[in-house]
Parts: sequence; C-alpha cells; structure tokens
Amino acid sequence: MKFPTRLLLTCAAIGAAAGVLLIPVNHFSAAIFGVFPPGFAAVAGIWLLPIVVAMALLRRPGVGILVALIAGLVETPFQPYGASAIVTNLMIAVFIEIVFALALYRYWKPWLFYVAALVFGALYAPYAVASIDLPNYGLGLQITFFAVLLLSEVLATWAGLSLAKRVERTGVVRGLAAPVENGRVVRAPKSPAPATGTAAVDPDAAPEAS
Amino acid sequence: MSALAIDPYREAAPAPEWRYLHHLNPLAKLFGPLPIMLLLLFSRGVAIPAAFVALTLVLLLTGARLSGRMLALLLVGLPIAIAVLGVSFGIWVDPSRLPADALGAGIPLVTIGGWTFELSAYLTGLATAMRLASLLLLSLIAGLTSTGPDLARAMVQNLKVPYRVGYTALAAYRFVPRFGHELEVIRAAHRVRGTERGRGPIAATKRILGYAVPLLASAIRHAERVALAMDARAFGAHPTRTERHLVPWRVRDWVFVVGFWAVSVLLYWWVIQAGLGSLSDSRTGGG
Amino acid sequence: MTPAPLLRLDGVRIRHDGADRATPDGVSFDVAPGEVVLLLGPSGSGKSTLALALDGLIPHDVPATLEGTVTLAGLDTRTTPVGALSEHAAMVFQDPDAQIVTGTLLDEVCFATENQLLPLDEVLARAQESLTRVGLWERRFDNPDTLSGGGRQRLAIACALAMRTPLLVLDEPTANLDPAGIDEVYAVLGELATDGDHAIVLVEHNLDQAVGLVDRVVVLDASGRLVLDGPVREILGGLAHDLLDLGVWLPVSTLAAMRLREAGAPIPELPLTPAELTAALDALDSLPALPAPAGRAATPRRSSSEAYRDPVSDPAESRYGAGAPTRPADAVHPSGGVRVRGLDVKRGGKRGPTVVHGVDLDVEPGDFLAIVGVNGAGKSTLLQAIAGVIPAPKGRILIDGLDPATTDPRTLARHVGFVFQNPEHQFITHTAAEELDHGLRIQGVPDDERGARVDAMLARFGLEAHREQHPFLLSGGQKRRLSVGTALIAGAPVLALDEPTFGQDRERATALLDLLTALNRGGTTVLVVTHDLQLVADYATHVAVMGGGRLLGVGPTEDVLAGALIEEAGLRRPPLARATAALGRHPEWHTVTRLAQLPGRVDEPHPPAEFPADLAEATAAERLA
Repeated sequence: MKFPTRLLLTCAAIGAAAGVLLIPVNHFSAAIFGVFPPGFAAVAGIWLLPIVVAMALLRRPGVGILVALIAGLVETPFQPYGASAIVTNLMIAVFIEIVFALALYRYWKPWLFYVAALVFGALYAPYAVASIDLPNYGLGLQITFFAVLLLSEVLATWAGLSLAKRVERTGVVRGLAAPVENGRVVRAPKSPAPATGTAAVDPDAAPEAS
Repeated sequence: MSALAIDPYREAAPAPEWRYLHHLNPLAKLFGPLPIMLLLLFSRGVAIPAAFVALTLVLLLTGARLSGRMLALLLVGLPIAIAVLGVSFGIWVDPSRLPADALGAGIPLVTIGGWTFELSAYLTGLATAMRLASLLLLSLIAGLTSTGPDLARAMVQNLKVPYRVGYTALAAYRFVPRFGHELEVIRAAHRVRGTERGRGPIAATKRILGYAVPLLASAIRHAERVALAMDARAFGAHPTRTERHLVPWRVRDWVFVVGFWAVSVLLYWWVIQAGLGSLSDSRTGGG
Repeated sequence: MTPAPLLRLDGVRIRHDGADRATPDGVSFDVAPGEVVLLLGPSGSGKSTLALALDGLIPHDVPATLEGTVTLAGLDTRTTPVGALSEHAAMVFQDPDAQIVTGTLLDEVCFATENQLLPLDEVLARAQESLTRVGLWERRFDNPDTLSGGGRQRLAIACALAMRTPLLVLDEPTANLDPAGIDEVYAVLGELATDGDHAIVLVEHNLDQAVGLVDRVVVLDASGRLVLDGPVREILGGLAHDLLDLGVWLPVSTLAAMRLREAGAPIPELPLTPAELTAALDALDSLPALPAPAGRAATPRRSSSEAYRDPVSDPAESRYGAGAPTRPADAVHPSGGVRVRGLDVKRGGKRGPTVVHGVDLDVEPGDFLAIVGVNGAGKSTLLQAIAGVIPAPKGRILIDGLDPATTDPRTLARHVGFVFQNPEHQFITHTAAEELDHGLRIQGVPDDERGARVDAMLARFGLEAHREQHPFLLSGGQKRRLSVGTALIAGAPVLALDEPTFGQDRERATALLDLLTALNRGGTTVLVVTHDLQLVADYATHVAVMGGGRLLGVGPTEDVLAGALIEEAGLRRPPLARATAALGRHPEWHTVTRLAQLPGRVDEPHPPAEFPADLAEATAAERLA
C-alpha cells in the first residue's frame, strides 16, 4: 500500500510535535529517575502518546508504525538513547497496531485504545521489571509500581484520545482521516486524496463530489 | 530547550581515519550492540554490566571522536552517576528478599532509627545502575558517531525501507526546531491571555494539552504544505532515486557486527566462567 | 499554424471538498512558451487554487474536485501523475520554510533531480547552474536556516530552475518576506522574465514590483470567473476603473495617478511603477494644488500632532514612577499612554543577548504607532516587552499607568491587549463565543454580565453568525478579528499587534487596518509592528524606526517617511514616497507619502460590506495559500 506524501508528513509532524511537547516530561522523568527510580513508571505512558494521537486522528492502518518509526528517527539526535529508541518505539507501535489489525482496522472505539494500552502494558512490564530489578524491592513498592504503570498508560491513552478529538475539531485533518461513525469506519477510501478528487471530507458536504 | 539548538544535519568534518566507529554503517553500530543490550537487560550482578561498560568505553575512546565535554561526562560523570544511582536504587531494596549469602549481607552502611542500609542492598542497587549505564553506553556507540540523516539514508539504502518513508524522516528533522520555536510562541500567547495559572502536575498537564492543540494543528498544516512542495518536486515519481550520499554496507561492517557479537559472547562467558556472574558472588570492581 | 500552447486551461472549475462553490469557476486561457502571466483577482477568487492545478497537485494531492481540463505540454493533468508533470512545470510557494526539506543548500537543489533519477553528474551540473544563477553557489554547504527569508525564497527558485521545466508557477512568492527579501526575489525574477527561457505564471499581490516584468494579465472576479485577459498595460492602465470595481488592487503609482487625473492633472497614460509616476508628473508644468494637511483620511480627529501633545505629556511627567494614576473608572480619555525610558531587553533569559538597547519612547493615548525596521532590528521584541509578553527590567515601562514587569498577566490584560502574528496560537477554547467568554471569566466578571459583553463583542466584529463555530474553522479574516476581540474584551485601552498583516494579501490587510482605524478613532491606542511601509503610510499617525536594536527615530508619519530615517534603517520607502522624492520639478511634493494627501479622490477597492474578505474564503483553499 502506498502512503500519500501528505499522510507520511502528517505522521512525521505528529511525531516531531509530540517530541517537542514532551521535552519537559523527559526532564521530569530524568530527575525523578535519579531520586526514586521506580517513579519512572509514572511517565512510561508517554511512549504511547504520539502513537495514540496519530491512530485516533487518522484511523488508517500503519500510521502507528509510521509515527513510531519517524518519531524515533527524528528524536535520535536529540536524546541520549540514540538509535535504540527507534527499536523501542517500533515494538510498542507493532503491539498496538496488532490490536487494531485484529479488528480489521474497522473499529476505532476508545475502549479498543485502552485495550491496546493494556496489551502494551503487559508486554512492557517484564522489560521494566528486569531493567530496575524490581523483585528485590518490597512487596508494597512492587504493587505500587504496577499500579502506577497501569495508571500512567491509561492516562496517556486518555490524553491522546482527548487531544486527537480536539485537534480533529480544528479541521486540519479533513480529507486525510478515515471517516467514522460511532467509532466504525463508514467508508474507507483507498487513499486520502484519490486521483479522481472525490475523497469525502464529511458526509454532509460530500454528495456532489462523487 | 538547549537540545533544539542542535543542527541534526550538520555534516561533521570528516573524522580521522583511525576513529573507526565514524567509518562504519550506522546500522552496523545499531545492530551490533542491540542483541547484547537485550542480553544485558536480563543479567544480574555488577560484573557483567561492568565488563560491558569497560568494553564500550574502550570502543568509544579509541573509535569515536569525543568532545572534551563528552570525555569528561564519560570518564567522570558516568562513574559518579553510577555510584549515586546505586544508592537511589539500593535504598528501595528489601534486604530480606536477597539471598542470605548475598555479598555484603549483614554489613550495615548507615543506620537511621530502625532502618539499616546494608552493603548487600547497595550492591544490588549498584548492579541495576551499572546495567542501565551499560545499556546507555551501548546505544552511544551509534548515537555519538552517526547522524540521524545518515541513519535514515542507511535504512533506505541497506534495509530497503521505501525511500519516501526515509526521506519523510529527513524532512521531519526540520520540524523539530520549528515546532520548538512555535511552542514558545504559543506558550507566550496563552500566558498573555491569562491562562498560565496553577501549579502541580494536573495544572501542568492541562496547560500542555492546551498548547498541544494549536501546535499540532499548525504542525499538520505545515506538513501538508511541505508535502505539496515535495510532490511538486517529483517526490516518489520513481521507486528509487539518485543517491549522492552513499552509506554502503561493506566488509568492515560485517567484521564489526560479527566481531562485536563474538567478543561479547566471549566476555559474557568469561565473566560467568570466572564465577563473577551471579548475584551471590558479585564483586564491585569496574566503573 | 500557431505553435501548441505550453499550458491550456479549458473550463476549469475547482471545488475544495467541504466548500459550497467552485473557485475558480470556468477559467480558460493558454500560456505560450516564454510568456510571463500575472494572475490577479480579489481574495477568495481562487488564484492560488488555480496555481495548484497547473502542475496536477489538484486533483492528485489536494482533496478537491476538478472539472474541465488542464493540459500541460500536451498531457492531461488529470490522468498524468504529478511526478511526470513535474518535468514540465515547477512550483515556488509562498512560505519559504514549507518548501525546504533537506539540510544543506546543495542537497536541497538536488532534491528534485535526484527524484527524477537523473545521472549524478547531471544532478550536480544543474545544481551548480541554478544556485549560481540566484547567487547562492558559495553557500552550498550551509544549512538553509542560516539564510534570510529572501535567501530561502531564492533557494526555492533555484530548486525550481534545476528542474529545467518550460513553465514556472510562483504562488505569492514574496508574501512572507520583508522589503529587502522582496527586492532580492524580484531581482532574480526580473532576470528570468527577460531571458525568456521560461514561461512564468505569477500569483502576486505586490503589484508595485510585479508589473515591471509581466507581459500579460489574467483577472478573475470574486466568484472565480475569468473576466479580463490581455497585455499588462492595456489591462492595468486602460481598464483600471473596471479592476477597482472588481475589487482588484492596483499598483500604488497607478492609484495615485488616477486620483490626480480626477483632480484635473492631464496624465495621458496611467503609470504602473514609481519611476513612471515620477516621469509622468515631471512631464507636467504644474500639478494640482495639494490639499491642506488637515485632510488626513485615516485619523481626521486630529488637526496637528503638536497641538495634541501638550495636554498629556505634562501629567505623564508626574505619572511616571509614581504608581498607578487615579482616574475615573469610566473615563475613556486620556488613558492608554505608553512611556518607555532607557529600556534594554534581553532575549532568551538573563544570559541571552540584548536585542533592544536604550529605548526611550512616548506614545500618547489615541496614537496609532507603527514600529518598523528590517528583520532583526528588535521591533517585535520592543513591542512584546512593552506589552509584558516577554520580561523587561522593572521601572522602565509604563503602559496605561502600569509597569508590566511588576503586574500579573490577568491585571495587565485589562490594560493592554496583545495580538500575535498567528491568531490560532492564542485560541484556547472550542467556539468563538467561548473564546471571548474565557477572557471575561478570568477577570472574574459575573455570569449574567458576561453573556451581554460577549454578544456585544461578537456584533462589533461581525462574528454573530459564527458564535458557535470552532475558532480554527473561521476564515482568515474572522480569526484575525476574533483575536483582536479577545485582546480587547477585558477592556484594554491599548492594543498591540505583532506583524498582523504578515502573509496576507492587500485586501485582507486593508480590511484589518480599517478595523484598527475604527478602534483607534474610538479611543484605543494602537501599536503595530509591520514591514509593510505603504500600509504604515496610509494608516499610522506615528512611526518609530528601529535599527540594530536601537530606536533611530520617531515622529508623525509624513515627517518620518519624507525624511532620511527610513533609508538609514535599511528600509525602502513605500512606492508613492519613492516616486515623489524623485521628482525634479515639483519640490513641494517631496513630502507626499500617502494617497490621502493627494488631491482628488478615487474609490479604492474598499470592502463593499463591512467585512467582505470572508465571503468567499474556503478554509481548505486558504490553508494551502
């Protein structure tokens, strides 16, 4: 499938904008890491944010992976983890895309995003546990860690969905987002701007176009 | 925001021949360390990550062109950070969960009231800190010696990622400073309207969401204009394009990747062989 | 047999998805090889949309419906991919930043030819040729960010030249540039137009510069229909009145000559450029008498600036530094003055560079002050410091009786409103009405009072019909007015605007300045940063000229524009001032800088209704413009 240039660059813009917005969060997480390492669970959700925003906004197959790949590439020179962030980003995006692929990319209801976030959480947890050697910590701390991790993912998903909704209202993704009704894709054009120029923006405005 | 001052396109003056890391394919520097990072993630004890910290430092010091500041960070900052993080991690360790024969068990370092910070807990924390340091250093092999655009080009030329995707990333490097500047303007614009009120994480989150809407809207519009300009210049007209910047995959890249793996496995094996691999018998050496 | 046209449009109608009607609507014309065509039309007539259709971006890339046919070099654009069409037509867009995709000038200029799979030596040869042509070859290894706006736009032209297409399409190529940048771009375009290798289709509202290089003019009306098509002199000179009726702007020199004709000056042929105007006037033995200086169109309320100064400057003396003045709450005058003494401003925190040095400035209540200067002169920084947008040292600024350095933003909002260059940056809520309501809520205005004030403000700015609309979905003109409304809703007597006409065409810029003039007449002090000196000439009462971070001078508009200050600051005088300054025979006319100073009158293409610029703006078309 060929992504139109506009879609590619929109994904890039979402990735870059999210990176810029999250700079203070990154500083915060670096600071908290030095004082209270398990606290990074609180910001684990930010990995999800650009992916959720892009998928909720554009509702097209592959945009999650695209955003993750481009965001990873773009962030490489700007952060210490370097290129390995690309791999991390991609893995997260693949997990989330799988959830939507199982729904054949026809259902985009919010609960599916939360399910995807939990799937991500379940796969992220062992990694997090291993990296900070969690089993050596007190039981209370371990439970708190998982609760906070879960909460952070749910909150990030909520923030991403709310942001996508507010951005959609500005009209900037008209003609680019797949049209949905009640969280279901009503008609999936092959590409956002087909050569015939008949892409529907919104159902009310479309009839004369086709 | 100092990160935004970085020019991601800046072509560094060619590194001297003997700074060999600069003359490798970015993908080699990514895929060489990657499996080792995974391996390290699940290692225990101080010795194994410490061995890899040492190995990586040797690679960086011999093969990478390092600024004075980076040199100081690696040689002074890093050991201090490891030692301090060892405490941060260590104080949260529950000594009763450690094996009874853990190194340093029962040796108190600090006692405040009824709480004792044992050496065993510190060593456990230190192991975690060392492991994270080794992961960071391994990713610096690529991070310090290759540019983002070269990585994007390598993905296109060597991994057969469609060039439209790779060049989208290349175009997107320009977005970062632009959006950073725009975010500052938006922040000022919202402050003027009297919205910059309230402290704490909830108010901060609400504020960031408020900035995010105009930032994303403007970012998407900008992306759309750039897309038109690119298409008008024959972007994607053919499945491939003429490349002026070649990022070849050469024999030396195979040598580096295979060599890196071989040395790593040997090192891993040797450390375990020497009985340094398990937590109960770890040593503090290295740093 | 006539040679086949390079470009043929036949009955072209384009409707953006979501728009109610098609603009352009049924346009047919041909462009021959080597011809230079200027596309004119009022805002919303679809000029930029049409430009996008010339190389197939419509319908292939933009969600819009194309009817009729566009044939480029014999290819139907509807069935030929954009990539193939790009071998025949190259585009230059308005925003230089939105067409740069790589990290060095050389990479940039090679981008298209690499995409076209040309061999490496050909790519490099073309790169060298086109960069040399725009004077940028020496800088080929630099990052485009280090170029000025004009430099980046020259780079965009080089990128188009490297494609060696027979057609160049330029869509408002100078709208985002300062005067120096505009000159740079036109120097390059002038050469291209004369060498005749390229056909050029130019969409441009800066007619004063463009007319010099154009062969032919194609004019669309407000509904997007083609109404005039012919040689430039025949159309602009011969049919000037028709163009004004259509709402199309004319070169300032032409407008000035029309006015003088009206006043009885026998000018045989209407001039198009300042040089032609100078020649036409110098050819006359006598010119009509200049009206008395009182006839100031923009601000008739004031007879002379000197007489105005005294009553306020004395009390201001005692006001300054003595805390907030006491005045009746309902007094409209004389609040809204600004006083600046010894102001230094740093950018980017305490360690940042000082970009404004030792500024002393007085703005009397009711003034309309324009701050002008080249890029980097510190004009925006000065304005932002005065309005409290960026921090300034304590005790240096007094605006409407308050020191912004020690006043919290909420209080300050009742005294000064600030409008940013891009209105969208300031929007916070989901509807136009909420946007206004937000400002009142923050001020703690009770619920029952807020509704009425919001309604009044919506009515004042012609936004009643859009009260529930999302601010981002308003047209450009409506957004701008809403942002002015939000700045004023808390009752501020001072309004500060940073480059409010940036990137807008003449018509929209004029609509905004008419609005500001109306506010100014109602007593609001207006401070505006701009680089459009003709707008300054026609609207501002006072001009402050900045250069190198210092205030070079400030005074009544006529005095500043007629003096040497503008050129000392590296700016170019506006076209009319240029024409009159060059007069050899009529020295008393050297001080004429604004149309309103001329005898006679001609209706400028002023908005027929109060806010006309919105009528035909399709959001989709606008955002691509």
